[in-house]
Amino acid sequence: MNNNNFTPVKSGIYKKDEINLSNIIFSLKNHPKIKDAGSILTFTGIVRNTSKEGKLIRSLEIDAYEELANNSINKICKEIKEIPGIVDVIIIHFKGVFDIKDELVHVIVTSSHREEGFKALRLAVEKYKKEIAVWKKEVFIDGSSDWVH
Amino acid sequence: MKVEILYFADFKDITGKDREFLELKENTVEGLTSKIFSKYNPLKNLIWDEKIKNLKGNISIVINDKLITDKNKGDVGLTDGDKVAFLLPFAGG
Repeated sequence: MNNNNFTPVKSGIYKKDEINLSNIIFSLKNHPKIKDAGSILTFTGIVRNTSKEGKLIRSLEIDAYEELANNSINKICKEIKEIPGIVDVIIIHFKGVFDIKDELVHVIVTSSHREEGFKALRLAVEKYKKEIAVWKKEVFIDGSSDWVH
Repeated sequence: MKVEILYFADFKDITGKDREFLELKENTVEGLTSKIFSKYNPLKNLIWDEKIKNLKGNISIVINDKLITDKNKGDVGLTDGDKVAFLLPFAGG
């Protein structure tokens, strides 16, 4: 599986469609300690067609303070990698304008066993939701829009 | 003294830009807020609490990519060339 020309995928903020789940899994499978892993767990956040209040959404915009968000993402990844049994983690958050069903975020954890992998994945998802400098604007089908806070 | 201010999310919609340089007479965050409120009045409703005469409690200030944790945010000093951003609570995708 090792490839001399291989460049690992770095966690962080990316433009829409700049990278996909296959690229990330390929990168994780080239991790020097991948042989210690027995699972790859993934979470992908996509655009839902309703807001929390039930309003119909036409599209979503994501804005990010990249320097700050990347620092927070790296801090979260460092914390997750310190959990026993976790081999690696990658968090990718996209920015730009998105349609319904478009992918907004990927969180992928490789772990020795599934139990610690599921826990770490959940923790990483909860953390990125609160801790990274990213904002989303819901654009509704009636033409109005709101930044979510 | 000149500082660079970054605008994200609501700030970007209100100002119509993602960053700009502003000349300040007073070298504090309060000096900067006075400047931006006079230039973009809707920003005052967004981040200013008139009752406490200070920034709303949920507003964070970042100077040169570092989060400022001082209690009285308005008094925080600025120096020439600082990069400043006011941030509303985050909402990841």
